[in-house]
Amino acid sequence: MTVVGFDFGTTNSLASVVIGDEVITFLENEKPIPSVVSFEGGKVEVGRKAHDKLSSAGLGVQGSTVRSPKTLLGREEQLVDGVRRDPVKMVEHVLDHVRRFVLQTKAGRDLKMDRVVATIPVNMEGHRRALLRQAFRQAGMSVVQFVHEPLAALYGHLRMSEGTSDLIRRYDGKMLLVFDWGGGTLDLTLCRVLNGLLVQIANDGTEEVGGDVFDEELRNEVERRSRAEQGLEDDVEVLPEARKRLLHQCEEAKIRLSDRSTWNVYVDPYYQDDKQSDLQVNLARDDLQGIVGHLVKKGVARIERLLEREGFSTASVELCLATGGMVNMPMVKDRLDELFGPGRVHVSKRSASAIAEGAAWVAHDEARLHLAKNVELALARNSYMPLLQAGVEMPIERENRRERFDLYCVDPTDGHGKFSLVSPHRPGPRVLANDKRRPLCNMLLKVDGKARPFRERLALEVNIDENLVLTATAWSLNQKGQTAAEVHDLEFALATPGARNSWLNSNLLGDDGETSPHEPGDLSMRSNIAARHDESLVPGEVMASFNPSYFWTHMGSTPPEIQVEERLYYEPCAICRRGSNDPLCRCASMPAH
Amino acid sequence: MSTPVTPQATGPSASELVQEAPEPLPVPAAKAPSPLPAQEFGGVVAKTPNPVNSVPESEASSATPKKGGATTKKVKADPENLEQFIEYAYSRKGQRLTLKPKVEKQIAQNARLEDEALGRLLNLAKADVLLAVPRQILLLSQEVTGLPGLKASLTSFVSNLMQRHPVFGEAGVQGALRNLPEGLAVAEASARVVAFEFAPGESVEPPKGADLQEFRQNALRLFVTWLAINRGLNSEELSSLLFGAIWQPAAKDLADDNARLRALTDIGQAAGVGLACQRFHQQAIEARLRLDQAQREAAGLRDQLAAAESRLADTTAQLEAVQTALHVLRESSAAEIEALRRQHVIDMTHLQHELEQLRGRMVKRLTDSVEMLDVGLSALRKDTPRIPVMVERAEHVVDALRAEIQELGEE
Repeated sequence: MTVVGFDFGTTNSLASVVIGDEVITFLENEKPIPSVVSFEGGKVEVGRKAHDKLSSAGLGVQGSTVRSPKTLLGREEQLVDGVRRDPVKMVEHVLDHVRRFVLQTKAGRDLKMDRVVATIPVNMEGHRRALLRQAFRQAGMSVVQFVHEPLAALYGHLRMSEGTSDLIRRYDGKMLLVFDWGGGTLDLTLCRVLNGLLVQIANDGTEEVGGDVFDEELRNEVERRSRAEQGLEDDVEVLPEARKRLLHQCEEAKIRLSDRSTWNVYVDPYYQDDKQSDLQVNLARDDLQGIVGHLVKKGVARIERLLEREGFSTASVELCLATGGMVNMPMVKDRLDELFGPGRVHVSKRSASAIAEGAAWVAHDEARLHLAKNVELALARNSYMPLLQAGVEMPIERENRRERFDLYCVDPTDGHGKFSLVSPHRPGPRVLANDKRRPLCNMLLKVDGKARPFRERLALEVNIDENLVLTATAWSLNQKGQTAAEVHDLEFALATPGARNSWLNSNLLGDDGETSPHEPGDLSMRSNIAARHDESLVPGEVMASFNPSYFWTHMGSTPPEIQVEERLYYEPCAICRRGSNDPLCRCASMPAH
Repeated sequence: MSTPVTPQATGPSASELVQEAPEPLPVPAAKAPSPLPAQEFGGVVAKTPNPVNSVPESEASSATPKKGGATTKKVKADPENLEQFIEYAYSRKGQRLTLKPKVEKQIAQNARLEDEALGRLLNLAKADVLLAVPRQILLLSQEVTGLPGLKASLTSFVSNLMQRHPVFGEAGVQGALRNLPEGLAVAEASARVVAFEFAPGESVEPPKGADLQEFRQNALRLFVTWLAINRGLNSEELSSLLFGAIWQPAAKDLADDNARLRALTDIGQAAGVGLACQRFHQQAIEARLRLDQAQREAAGLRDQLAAAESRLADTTAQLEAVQTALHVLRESSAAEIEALRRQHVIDMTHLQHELEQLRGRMVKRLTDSVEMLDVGLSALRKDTPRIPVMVERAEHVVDALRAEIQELGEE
């Protein structure tokens, strides 16, 4: 059964499918389908018709029209033209429209179009992924697998390039930047090829410099120049719908100035004056650069900022894959060439469909997502136990990946077991104990406070579902406590074509290093959990209360120094019962009687 | 040379005997009635050598004269006719009978038995409880040469007797005796004779115990003798019948080795035993030869079978190889056809897609061009025509259409 690649984009949506090692993209008169839905009474319009009703840039609700309903997912409901509407239903309208469009084409009529690989933005967290899956299901499609948009674009680029395996070898260990500049958003994703896996390193995105913002900026400037040329004040109204037509003409001018030096923007009639004057502004390419150049700079500057934030230079980027409609602007291409050098910038010829085509190749090759970074449990005395190793294959539709662990509490005296799930910054399973780690979630589990250390058994289960949400559940078997937490922002890697994941054969945690594994400002919790019975893990004062003979060195016992210190520090003074750090305690300095 | 006389001329034929439907021979009232003393004929005691030679037979033990009998035998006159001779024969109680040529000729002159005489003789036969005499008469009849009338009369008498005796009374046995279509097979008829039981309620008391056994054996001997003479039963079949019916059961009755030793060393009639053994030996040799032949044939057939099986295996292997090759060929051709079909579907899909793409591109190009020209025209129609607007749009449309034409030409 053929699985279709489905790019449900912020601005546009489209579907692609690989048939016989060639990709077919279902475009509507060479254009993708706008992700816009419009409500007119009981009638719902989707796609181009709904898009034509938009009169301004920006995502979200505009009157009765919703642009990019995907961004509304996660909200309970959305007020559209005074009516409360379900965002999932809005998304369903768009998805269903694309599905119907594909099925009515001659090339797509034999497709069932009931199973898709759906692309998602990098920052789409688990709850929204689940809602998107629900919308797909309501539209008659099941999501076999989610794949992140930049990963899909990269995968498609590698798959459709000549000498794919050589290219992957060439890029191994190198940084790749996916620069997706569409009508609505600019998304940047820094990736690295590691052992045949495409791993996300960092990402950034903004709605401030989407293509529609360019059009709107250009429209405003054109109108300003027109008014100035015609001596019209601001109080002269514009005819209804004229601004929409001007926006369209500005978009046209933006495209035309790619291959012409000048272009006349013309809308007739435009002004609501006595003569119903028209609008004519002659724009040169330099004018365009002057009007929207700051937006281009702003967009490209985000690349530099991202690289700087992650500690890389532009020289470390081996490939800049530019996708999205905006990258066809010569100004943008020139700026990217300046930044990376022409040899490292690849502007996709089919930039608008690169993500959908990548998803289609992912579906065709049955490429799977893998966990990019370890999921670890912090243990007592700053060691880490890997719960899920990087490289582990992520579940697809109707699958779950579940692991269960038996643990102990080394210090149950406060009645709580403290679970802290962390993930190292370094991708792959080869991480060191002192590598920096990002906390994923913390859990407090009720345990038997009167029990000796290691007496009560604890259990921890981690489960990753089809929406790539990690759920951690912990139990105390005697106290019957239970706690759970969800992690929605795991990071993933995508296997490149023909790659063999060698991560699982790599060495795991090292135990050297002294630096703190946490970033400054991280909320961290001192774990009191252990995975093995080791009395040296128990805090000294706790050990002393349960087993005083443990510290009887004259009987041959050799407790670790840290436990001795802990015992001395935390045990109250034997004479005055003050804390050992209490300055009022002077017992030790008292002369002996 | 004596004129051959057919049995029909001198006595009743077999068919006549059937038509006469003679009365069944009554069962003798008592065993060994001894109607006549030994060696006595017509009240005249004959001295040895008797005109009718007598040879004691061990087989007919009950009819054997007792030891200690009269050592001085009365001289008895030679029988002058057949009736007298048969009376004499019955007086011998189963001992072997012989006829001197002179007596033989004399009897032959009066060889016809009248009905009264036959009745008398049949009454006399009732006394032969053990049925030992008729076989001797029958055997004697075969020794008569050149006197067919006598021979036929003797045979006819025995035939009459056998038809009347209850041991041969069963229809199947009678059929076998007279070679009728409904007659039993010889072996079956012999088995019936040997297993004969007198019907209850007879006026006379049937023989019992050893006498009954001897009666049955004599009946069988008479039966097979009759068949040997009249139906050409050969000696092998005869021996086989006697072996199965008499000799083997008798041997089975021997309780131990000593009894067997006694039985073997008590054999008096060496000729008979010799003959039987010779026959059996001959049969064994023939059987052995047949067995060897059969084994040779079996070996040959086995070789042929092995060769045939080998050929079959080779052929089967060839067939399997051919079938496998055919199967592989079918699968590969089916796979090729399926691949071609799939490829055809794929090619068709791509062609359709390309066509749709082309159509979409054309629609877009034309729509854009129309929009451009619309705008340009509206600019021209203004009171102050916006000529540059129209010019650049027209230029753009022309450029776009030229580019499209070139692209179409390249495709």
